[in-house]
Amino acid sequence: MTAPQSAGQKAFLFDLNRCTGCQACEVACTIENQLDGFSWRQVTSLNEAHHAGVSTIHLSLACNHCEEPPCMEHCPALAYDKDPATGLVSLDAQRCIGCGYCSWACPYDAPKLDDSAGVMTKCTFCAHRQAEGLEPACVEQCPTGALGFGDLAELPGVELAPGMPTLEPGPSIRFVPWRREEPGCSEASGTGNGNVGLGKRRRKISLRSEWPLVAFTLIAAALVAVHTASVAGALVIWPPAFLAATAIAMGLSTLHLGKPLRAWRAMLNVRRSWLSREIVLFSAFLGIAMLCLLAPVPPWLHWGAAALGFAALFAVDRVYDIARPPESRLAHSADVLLTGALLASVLSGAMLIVAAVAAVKLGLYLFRKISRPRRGLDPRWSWSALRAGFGFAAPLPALVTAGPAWALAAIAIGELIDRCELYEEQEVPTPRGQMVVELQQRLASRRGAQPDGAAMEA
Amino acid sequence: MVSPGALQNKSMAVYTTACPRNCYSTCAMRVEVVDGRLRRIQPHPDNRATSEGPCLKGLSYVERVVSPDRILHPLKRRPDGTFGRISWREALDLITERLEAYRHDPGSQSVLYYAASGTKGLLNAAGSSFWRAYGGSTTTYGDLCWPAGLEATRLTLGANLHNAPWDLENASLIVLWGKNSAETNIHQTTFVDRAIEKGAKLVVIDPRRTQTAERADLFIQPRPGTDGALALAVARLLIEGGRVDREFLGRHVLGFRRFREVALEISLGESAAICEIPVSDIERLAEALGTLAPATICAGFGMQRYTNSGQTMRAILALLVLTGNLGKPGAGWQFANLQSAVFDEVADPIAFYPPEKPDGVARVSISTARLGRDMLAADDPPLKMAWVERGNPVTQNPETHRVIEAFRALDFRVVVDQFLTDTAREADLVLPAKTMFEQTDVIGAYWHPYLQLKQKMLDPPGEVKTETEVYQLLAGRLGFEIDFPGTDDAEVDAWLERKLARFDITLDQLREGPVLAPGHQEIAFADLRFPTPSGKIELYSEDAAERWDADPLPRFAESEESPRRATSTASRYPLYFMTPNTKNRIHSQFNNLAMIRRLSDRPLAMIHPRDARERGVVDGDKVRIFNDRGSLELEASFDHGLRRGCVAVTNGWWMTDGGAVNVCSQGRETDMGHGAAFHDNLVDFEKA
Repeated sequence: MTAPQSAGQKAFLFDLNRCTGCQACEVACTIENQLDGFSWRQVTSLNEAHHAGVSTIHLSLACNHCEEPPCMEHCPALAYDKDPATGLVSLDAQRCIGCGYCSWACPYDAPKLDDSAGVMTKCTFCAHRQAEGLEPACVEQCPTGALGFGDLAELPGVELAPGMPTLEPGPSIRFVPWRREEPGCSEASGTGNGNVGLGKRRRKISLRSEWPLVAFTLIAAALVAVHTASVAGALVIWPPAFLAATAIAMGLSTLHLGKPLRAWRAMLNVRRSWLSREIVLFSAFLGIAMLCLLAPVPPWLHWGAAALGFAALFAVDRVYDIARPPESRLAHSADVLLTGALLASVLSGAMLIVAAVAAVKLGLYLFRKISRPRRGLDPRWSWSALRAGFGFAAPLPALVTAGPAWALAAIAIGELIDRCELYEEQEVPTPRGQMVVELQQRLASRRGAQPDGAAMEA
Repeated sequence: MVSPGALQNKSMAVYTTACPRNCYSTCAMRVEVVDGRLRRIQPHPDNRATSEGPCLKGLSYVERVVSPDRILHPLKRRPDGTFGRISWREALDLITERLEAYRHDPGSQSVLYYAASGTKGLLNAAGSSFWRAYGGSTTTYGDLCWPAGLEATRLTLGANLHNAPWDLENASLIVLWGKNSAETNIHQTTFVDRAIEKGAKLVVIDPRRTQTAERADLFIQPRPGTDGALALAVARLLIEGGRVDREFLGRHVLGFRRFREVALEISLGESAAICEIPVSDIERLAEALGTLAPATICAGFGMQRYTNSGQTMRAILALLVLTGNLGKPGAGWQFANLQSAVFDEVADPIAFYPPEKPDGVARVSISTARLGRDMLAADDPPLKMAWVERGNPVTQNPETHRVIEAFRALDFRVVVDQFLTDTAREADLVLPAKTMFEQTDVIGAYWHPYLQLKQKMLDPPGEVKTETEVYQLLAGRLGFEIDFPGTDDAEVDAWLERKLARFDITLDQLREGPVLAPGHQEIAFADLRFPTPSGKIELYSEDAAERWDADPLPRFAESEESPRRATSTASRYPLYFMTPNTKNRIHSQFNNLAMIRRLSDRPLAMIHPRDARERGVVDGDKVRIFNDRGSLELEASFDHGLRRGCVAVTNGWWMTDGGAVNVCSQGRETDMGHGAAFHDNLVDFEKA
């Protein structure tokens, strides 16, 4: 699965049988590390609503100091390090730009935003205590002895526990597995299952929190499209409008950072992070596109800028790869590469390309709308009606009756709705989300084991 | 974020101390103080019962001592109901003036002295000493917490002692009967886990599927208040199956024959119908108790707060008597272990009872369980003033509305506290109280057998004065003396040394770590001597009949508020209102701290989905829980593991949180022990 861990890799050990979900570990972490109103460690629970036949089990996680830390891979600012001697994955607050991308990348929800400081922070393995020969505070303070600590190579236990969404990054944690049989509940006590209360998914990414990125990505697509159309000779750009849109886009992308003044650091991890690549490519596009506007440059540079623009849009879409739900794993109808291509071909009057791109988008859209209900998710038909109405149905009649500007406006609104849906649909694996999935599975398998439906209506 | 490593060049001191809250665990702690501030609280390995370290509440003292909400100056109520800071001189003048006036007219006993269990310590006795010297006062008898169980144990075994906590590891069968140790005694859970790891079986009996129940091999969810019937049914099966320890019964037990008749009175089917559980549950519990030894029953406090609780506890304890599970390692009855109560002149529960011959000074006349009602009824003399310390009776005693009414009927109220609790908000004068880190005291425990020191390691902040100093200052103004130390730390130490001297224990020893109480028995009743009137274990108790007018045998009777009793209340309110404790609080303490609030930010009404469906309520709805006495509006949270017919809201939310559960409870006493039967509490709920 993963490469063997480094020889000195330290690791947590967690005994599921001993944890009572008391959360002393969370409080101990807050106090030891003087955190302002949050904790690097978090306890999540399976079956908090006590559905019959499924044990209520807890998982206490901080940072797993992975062999291949996704936080470190995806951090655009190179703020993460991994100590080869102890395996400690550390985050340098001085280098962090507060973009929060690491919290999307980490399936264990380890990086936490320090609101007051504007940077991400995370478990340090209590390196300062280790230096004094002490165990991490959470381990020492666990009142039931459920948490342990030691050399990964020497720890007993298994790799998987309920609430672990993946083992892909090579987490440095081992588990003493749950030993109890699933609890029996006496019929007379009336503790049968209803069909509700699986526990609420608390989503890490939502439209409400990410609206500046919706705006940024759509403006980026529009800028690339406008530039391309101008290169194709379909329109002439009015420079002040282009500059204003550029300023808004850059402003939105910078101001949503916890540390806007360190925004330049976002370009440092071109080697590994799509976020860095997006920023480098988009900056290059903007620079050259503006040069094209303001100075006489050779035509190949105009075309070069357009190519950079589409490369940047491709990179934008790759940034969201870590948050794609299964039904848009390959592509999403609101991917900005498609948006850019659609707008560019509409503006250029290349109707064949318009038709081709629109067909791809419609296909992707319909596929998603069919897939989501199958996963028990709300397909959001009212959004769909608006999206299809504006984006697919309205443009042609608008073009015929009201003119091209109206048609373009309808397309743009359709794209905006689709883009909003994309942000609402994004999912990153989290321990909490994984607990919900596992509860659903266990309840389903229990229903399977009792075909008379006793589990449902005891 | 401050680098936690940056402690160099700062003065750090490490102190041994112990948590004095009303909690089983009474944890030993090692506390690091850096530059006059608590830095961290670490486990203290020398207390074998709590060596893994304190719970989340214990850790949160780091916040509690410096909480911005802490009261640091005397506060006086303004006419508009808000509080304003006054000087100590003004505060003491005001109190002195009132005390002098009331002493003359209508008499010193028009002052109610109310002290509860908010903190433990020998210096707490300064209060009683002061009020005695004042000329007496009205005080309370009984206790909110545990007297029914204490008295049941005293009647049966003669004393409230049990094996050391760590002995639980030796049990082959552990029955956590109405006890949710995972939340209320987390350190016991460690010993339960170790016993399980060695092969022990665990039975959990609770109407709620608690965190503790997750560990159980057998989990039984009886109807609240019917545990006595369950115990008698198990006894019947043990007796019928010949699974009793005949030799033990013959030598050490009084009343087995008569108890046997009681156990055989009700058929198995009838018992199962009373408890509303399958017969197989009773059979499996009897099978476990009949075949697995040694067996320990850990009985919780919640189930002995019903009107039939004394008899319930006697019936459950009888199961260990029948099977000879007393006086041996891994066996016994873990309810209260008063081995460290060596300073008490009268052992609990007797200390709770009104003295047989009142000495005319301390007029013990008011029942804690009926505080509001009894305060209002007092007329010889009528009450004029109340002094409250270590307690929050407004939310924690039964019948909140009646308690508030009684407090508001007084002329003058003084409350000593660290925070503006709901009781403090009712006061005319609030005096700032010290924390456990600001005065040295010696404390015992009621689960483990250690004497421990809670050490002074911080100077009281602001104008906080210790209670002993306040009493000294008042005594001086009123012209009498009390034998208690004042401000001086050396005086406090000397006073404590004198108390300890007769046990050959020094403060220096306690500064190092916990000390086992003198005369401590690791295995309680190992000598099989029982200090009852007969010298034997008493399944039949004359004392129960004489003192409590109770059946000398623990027959089952429905509790007073039971849907099966044909009273008007019962027919109107079909649901049991359960008000259990949570890991996040000790009664009404701790939830005001940000660290705890982050984990529990609002009260929730736990309801069973099918009870909810019948009332058109869905998960997350606002519901109104109500009966004739009061109502609460709370967010509903579905709990599929809760017994149907029960609603649960954790105890200890403040009125300002909207979750003070005692607005619905009734002030009445348990069948024995003068306990508070506030869990006899039927309600209904509806969508709000």
